[in-house]
Amino acid sequence: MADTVKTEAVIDKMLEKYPAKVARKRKKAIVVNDKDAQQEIQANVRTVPGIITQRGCTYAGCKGVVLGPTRDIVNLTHGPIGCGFYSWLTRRNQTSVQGQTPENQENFMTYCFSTDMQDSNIVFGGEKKLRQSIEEVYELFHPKAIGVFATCPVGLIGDDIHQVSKECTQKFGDCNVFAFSCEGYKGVSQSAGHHIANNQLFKHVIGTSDDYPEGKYKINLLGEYNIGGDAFVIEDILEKCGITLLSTMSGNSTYKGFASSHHADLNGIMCHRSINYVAEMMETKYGIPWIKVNFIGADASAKSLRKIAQYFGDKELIDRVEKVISEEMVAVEEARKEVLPKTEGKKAMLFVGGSRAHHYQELFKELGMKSMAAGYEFGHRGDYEGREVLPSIKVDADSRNIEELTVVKDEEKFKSRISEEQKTKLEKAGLKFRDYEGLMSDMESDTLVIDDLSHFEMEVLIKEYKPDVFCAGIKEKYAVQKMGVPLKQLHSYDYGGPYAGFEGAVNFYKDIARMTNSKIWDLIGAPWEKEKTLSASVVHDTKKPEKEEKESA
Amino acid sequence: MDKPIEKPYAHASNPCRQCMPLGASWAFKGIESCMPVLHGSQGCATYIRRYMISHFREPIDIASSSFDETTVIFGGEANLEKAVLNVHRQYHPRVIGIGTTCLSETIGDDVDRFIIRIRDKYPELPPLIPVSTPSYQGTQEEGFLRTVQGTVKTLAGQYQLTEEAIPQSDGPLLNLFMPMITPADIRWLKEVLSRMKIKGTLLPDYSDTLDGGMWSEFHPMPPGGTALEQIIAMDRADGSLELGSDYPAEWRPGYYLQKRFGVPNARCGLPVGIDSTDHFLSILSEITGQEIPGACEQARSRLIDAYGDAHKYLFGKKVVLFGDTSTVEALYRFASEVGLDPVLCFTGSPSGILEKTLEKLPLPEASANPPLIKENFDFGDAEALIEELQPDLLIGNSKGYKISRKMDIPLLRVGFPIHDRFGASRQRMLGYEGTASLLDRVVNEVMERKQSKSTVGYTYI
Repeated sequence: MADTVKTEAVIDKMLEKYPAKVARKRKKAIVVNDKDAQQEIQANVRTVPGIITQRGCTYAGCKGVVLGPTRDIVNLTHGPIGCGFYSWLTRRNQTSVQGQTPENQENFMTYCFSTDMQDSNIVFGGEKKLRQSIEEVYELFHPKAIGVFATCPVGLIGDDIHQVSKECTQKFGDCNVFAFSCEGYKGVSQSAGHHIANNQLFKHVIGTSDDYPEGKYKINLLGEYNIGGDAFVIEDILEKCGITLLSTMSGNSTYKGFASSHHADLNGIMCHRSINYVAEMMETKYGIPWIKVNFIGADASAKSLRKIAQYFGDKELIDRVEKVISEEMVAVEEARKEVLPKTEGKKAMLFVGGSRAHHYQELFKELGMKSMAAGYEFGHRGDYEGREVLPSIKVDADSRNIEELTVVKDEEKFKSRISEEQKTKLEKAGLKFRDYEGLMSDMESDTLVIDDLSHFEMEVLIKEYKPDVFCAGIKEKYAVQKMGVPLKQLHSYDYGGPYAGFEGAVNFYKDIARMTNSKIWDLIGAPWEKEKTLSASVVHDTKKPEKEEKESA
Repeated sequence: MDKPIEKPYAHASNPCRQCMPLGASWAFKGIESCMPVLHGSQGCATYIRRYMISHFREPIDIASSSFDETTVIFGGEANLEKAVLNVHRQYHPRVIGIGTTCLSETIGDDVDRFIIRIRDKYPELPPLIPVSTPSYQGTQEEGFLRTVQGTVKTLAGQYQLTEEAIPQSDGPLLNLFMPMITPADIRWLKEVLSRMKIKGTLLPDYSDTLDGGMWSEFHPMPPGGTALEQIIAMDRADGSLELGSDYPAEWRPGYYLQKRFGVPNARCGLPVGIDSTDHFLSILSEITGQEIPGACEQARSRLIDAYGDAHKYLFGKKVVLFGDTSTVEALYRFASEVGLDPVLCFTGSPSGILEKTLEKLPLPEASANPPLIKENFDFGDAEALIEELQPDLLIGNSKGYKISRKMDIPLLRVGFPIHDRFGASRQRMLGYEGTASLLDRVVNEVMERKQSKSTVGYTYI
């Protein structure tokens, strides 16, 4: 997108239909990237009513995203039926009980439990129905834990879901019941829900088990949700390397895994947006350092494995990691060689998630494709500009109404994993702790960075740039494809994947090569219609190049 | 409406229904150049878009008034005003449909009053249609019908039409109202009307908006849908026909037009099967005075022929039917006709209509006992019952798959949502041809099962 004049014109087009005030607000969320400058982007602010957004709600982020992939916690939605129904396994996070001990085989993910509130519950309160529902679910399944999720009306009618949960925990004795005040209207986006979910997990589950897990090089993987089986791939790689994965938060996860995750010696963060606060709190309370990792992209996966090995600093591990990487890269290189002629020089746009719009650029780089525009659906400024801007972000009303936990060192369970001296040494060698540089520094100059892209703005981008592939979600997919541009869903992976790790990279290469070289779009326009256009253009303009005729057909 | 049917448990487990705002959004999508706005938290619009798109595989835009905590305290009028204005400026819709949600209803927003004030302030706005669709009442079915009725109430006879916009026709003018059926079935209805030279206004008509082709140019709103002028002129029709179950009067658009404007109204169940399609065509002919085309007779004859051929595969096979009321009622009539034994019929709707309707129908030929009819029923309740009944086939939406997989009983996908099979929009079941297509699918499902389970003699089945 070297044509700055055009870029400015496109931005104007995106904004021209908005009332002046809305246009001013949206303008701050659109940045023409300059790699070398510290630019500011507006992010994590309320979507203007009537602007069709990609964003979901707080409940979706809490129940659907964070707690959804944990198989042995019963999720009970407290509210009318819709919210429970729409979050019923819709995120395609997977779980596998194969090879698990019987106590780890419980799987409630295929269920949708709801208190199914009716108007009488809205008028007279829903606590009684909630209590009865929790008791019923407990009697039916005897689960280890039950999570209660508030929907919009709950906060208004004043049901005390936390008290009901507490009383149930006491009554049952062997089942941990805890609640989430994740009413849909609470935050700017689903991001608020992630925060609420993580806070409650931290308060009620993480660190509650004293069982000391066996194994060498113990880590947790935070912010990996096992869409399309990504976590399975990562689990395999880590196992090959001899790294013990105690818990993934929360792809293919279990209650027990969360409860004993404080025994890990390192936290690796995949999705910085959704979970960085858990890593921070775990460091303060238990002394576990965290680093940013990324298993999307073969090169990025290799880099992440090397970072983990570098942290532990054990030659045995370092050698084994190198061996695994070189073995895995054979198939990757082969696949890359095959698809490169089909993908090189093509253009992609990515508007998704809180980390995916960044991570997936790695895969496009490997395919020789340029990411010409990108942005998050629910990212914050730190996810764009890097963590160094965090102290300068002002706390607004929306952030203030999400509980900020005060965490202190747990004198009993705190263990210093690494001395300051070692840490400095590692940092000098390039291993950065508590660091994330954000999306903007990784994107080329003159590319577009847009936060909370609206449906309308997206349509302008497609029309003006016709990228070779557009990455977003199901809500955007069919609108984009109507205009002849293939869309890759990066929420559900179009029911494909996995895309993580080395194996996943190969899958992604193949999928993108297939999508960007499809002949389907050439069939648009019946041949007799095309002929008409052709003869008309021959009459009027004999010099019109063939390509344009095809486009106008 | 009678008191809703009570559930055996306080909680719902694996529900067989969705909420009213989904039905509202769906119905609004059948009006030409209409943008639905859900008045509440933005998640409602996002969830419902996401869910409907997974079924239709088409772009579905739904705006939201995006409540925040202050909106919840001070009321949603300012947000609604902003939402309507922004939608208007970006998309220039000809109609804006506004459905409420549990959030705006709980805080007591008076949307009707808001709309009067917003319209006064901005006379340039297109017609705004308010519908009360709190998620803690009813189901998607009720939301859909209430929205159709709300649309008719707001528009029919309420706006001046220019001379050219007044529908002119040599033939009779008919309003045709449908519950949630597939776009392909809507297309069939239009074809029948055209063959009978009836000028019909179908509402809602999402046959193009939710099942459209490629765009050679960019459209801010997908083409198709019932035109605003047609709805305004509905009071001038010679009659109305409502398809679907015997819903309460307060949900029904045809009933309203009759009461308010004296437009004669008739109702019949969805035309699935010989009997129901015969009935539908007769009513159509009766209201409009038009003759039933000869081609219908040929299709009818072919269907009976197919019934005869299918009988040996289907007779006595036990089926479980589930979904929304109109669909389950139609499937029940069809099942009775082709010799299936519907052992259990259930819906998530608590309205009581299904039970009342099915009880009046004669016992199916293949059934030794009356079927179990359950309302306000979910898959969690159904599981144990199905285990006991050991049916040969389940017919209903994708959400039955968990039971299908667990008990190894085939599931034929019909209704909404269908997100694990392809071509939901193109499925047909209405009319003789549609029934034949449904019959083929049912028979093939049964044959496939028999074939795959046979150890010998599996070539000819």
